Amino acid sequence: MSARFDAIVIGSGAGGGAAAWRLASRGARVLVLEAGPWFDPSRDYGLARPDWEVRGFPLKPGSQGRYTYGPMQALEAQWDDLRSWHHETGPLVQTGVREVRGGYSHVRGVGGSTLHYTGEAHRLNPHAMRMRSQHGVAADWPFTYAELEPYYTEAESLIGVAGPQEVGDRWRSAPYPQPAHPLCKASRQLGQGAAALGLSWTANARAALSRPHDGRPPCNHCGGCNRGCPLRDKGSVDQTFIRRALLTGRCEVRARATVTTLLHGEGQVVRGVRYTDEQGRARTEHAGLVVLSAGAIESPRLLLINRIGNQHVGRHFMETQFWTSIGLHPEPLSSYQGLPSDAICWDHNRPDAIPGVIGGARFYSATLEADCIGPVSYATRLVEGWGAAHKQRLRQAFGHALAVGAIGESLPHPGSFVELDPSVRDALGMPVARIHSRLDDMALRRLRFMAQTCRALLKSAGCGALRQEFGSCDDFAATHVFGTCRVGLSKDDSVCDDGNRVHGWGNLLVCDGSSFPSTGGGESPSLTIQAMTLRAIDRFLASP
Amino acid sequence: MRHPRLNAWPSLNRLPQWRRRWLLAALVSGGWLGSQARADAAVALAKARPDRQPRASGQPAALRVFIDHLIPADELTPAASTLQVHQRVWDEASRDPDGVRLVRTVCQWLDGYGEGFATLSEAERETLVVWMSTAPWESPQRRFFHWVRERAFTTYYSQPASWRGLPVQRPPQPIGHVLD
Repeated sequence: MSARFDAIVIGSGAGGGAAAWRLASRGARVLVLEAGPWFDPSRDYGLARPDWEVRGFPLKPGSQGRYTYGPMQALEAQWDDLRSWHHETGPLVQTGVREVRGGYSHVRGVGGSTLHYTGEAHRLNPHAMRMRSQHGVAADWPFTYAELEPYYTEAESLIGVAGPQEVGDRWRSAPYPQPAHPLCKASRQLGQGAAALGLSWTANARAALSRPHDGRPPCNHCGGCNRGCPLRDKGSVDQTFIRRALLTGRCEVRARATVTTLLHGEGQVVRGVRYTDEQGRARTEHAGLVVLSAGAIESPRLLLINRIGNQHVGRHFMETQFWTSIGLHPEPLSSYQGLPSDAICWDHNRPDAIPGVIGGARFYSATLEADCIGPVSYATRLVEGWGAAHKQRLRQAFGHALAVGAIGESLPHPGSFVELDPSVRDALGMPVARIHSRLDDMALRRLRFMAQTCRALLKSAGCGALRQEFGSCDDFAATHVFGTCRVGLSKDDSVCDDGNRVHGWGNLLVCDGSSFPSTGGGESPSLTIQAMTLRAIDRFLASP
Repeated sequence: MRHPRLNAWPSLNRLPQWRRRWLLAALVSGGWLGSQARADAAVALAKARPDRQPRASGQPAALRVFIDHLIPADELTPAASTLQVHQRVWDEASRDPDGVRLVRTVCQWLDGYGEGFATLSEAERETLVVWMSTAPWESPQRRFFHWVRERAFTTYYSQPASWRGLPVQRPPQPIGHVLD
């Protein structure tokens, strides 16, 4: 039987989009199967509507997966300074056990979670790619930063990344394709606080256009990236890799298409996939290459359901270690304006940068990402009380919010893994993924450093009493997830080889956050996923 | 990164349900107002006057008054009820039997004071609201206060009529911002 497609890509997020574009650009006929729906930025995103603030990123049928969680750990009193709290309601977790308040935050849709991401476009710190050999934790990346660098440059060029001239630890073969965005007034205020503490504070690399590019307009600094960008300047994958893949004329995207089976026989060769289409019909497609890019929860789930891969599938799960502190500044800062996360501090990003802790962290302006942006947020979260006095206080406080966030290295833990839930099944009768998460003392010490630095930075910037803080200590909430199908040189400690092929399977690649052997010191992962995927496809196409 | 959950509502799901604990919570609360609360709460459900009883599917009258106390009119913006906030909060509560029960129970408790919550003076209403805002979390009054406050402010401030006096009085798009 002659296959209509040369390659099938499962998932259309950072990895799937990059794979589809590279394959189609190289002449392959590509089918992308995406479990979620299409989103139309003009119609679906609500930032121009009067009730814009109560609209988060839109929910559509099929745009959220279903997951369960294993038991969370008991909270110890020694870490009480890391509990999430609010200035009026008190502790946000009023139990003795870590909660799943945020859970696994994701979007199923064409573009994946880049649809709701902030759009930080980070390269991994080269110092964070040898965690096993240099620090005795996690695993080494089986390739170097130098091998990834040309692919980073290519991805940045396609997206139109705007970034600073300073390169720091991340050497570059070419400057960023677009100049950095100007810092908003609130971030400049934080910069003064950082300087007083001796911390650097620079423009963040952002997948948001500062100049017109590829038919897309520049960002107008509305601050609403996480609600979905109606302007299309944000470099979400639907507007970049997928759009460019479709323009080749060799790529087809089928939305609401949920893959259930990776078809294979006795030999370790995948012949195609079986999936359920948007009408609920079972369909089959064949191809010579299958790229699995469903993310660090769904990719191992699909491998486990299909009994593909070794004992490491689902293990080494790494999550988003985060902290955010929010305060009100006495001066008006117009902090509802700007680009979320427009400024960043990399000073503690290297794995040995935090005293007494392995694994780094980065700090960033989080005011808009923490949703301190509109009157609803001020009224419900930032301004106390009620009545006429509350109205007056809100008018006085509006635009005064400041938030600093931190994201740190997450290291593998034997208690952190993804498995098939033995009792819960999805609408198609397949077991759902069950997520297990544990934080050890190292993680909590790193988190303490992150919290203390966020507080110090806000204080140094002139903020008064804090209004709210939240973090990973008592709340499992993860957008960036990693490690469950990690790449490595040996099948004894990894699922995939250094070209992202599942060990022993010549035509099955896994290209997404699950491939990461280590997380880096808080870098956002989408650009690295894209660079790694371009490299993996090139290596596959070059193989005999 | 996108923060998945940013509200200020605490996780309480391992605490006893309010349906089983609210009378106990009122009994253990201290102070003069605690005494008032427990005395009045004890008789509210049993002795509420028939004309103050909520209709089977109707919105308790005290809800509108309570929300207008949280969000009164001032020189720039209207009261919550002018923007139909009470109706939308009630509609939201009505989607969940527990929500209906919470709102009805606490509104009945509010109406147990004087000749009904609406007849109380501003200062008397304020005293009750202050107490509710600091009551034990197990009590329905505390949960009602925070739930209604959050929902009422959210509904009110998502309407442009509430934005007068703010430095920005339009949605973020399509214009965006010129940075200061």
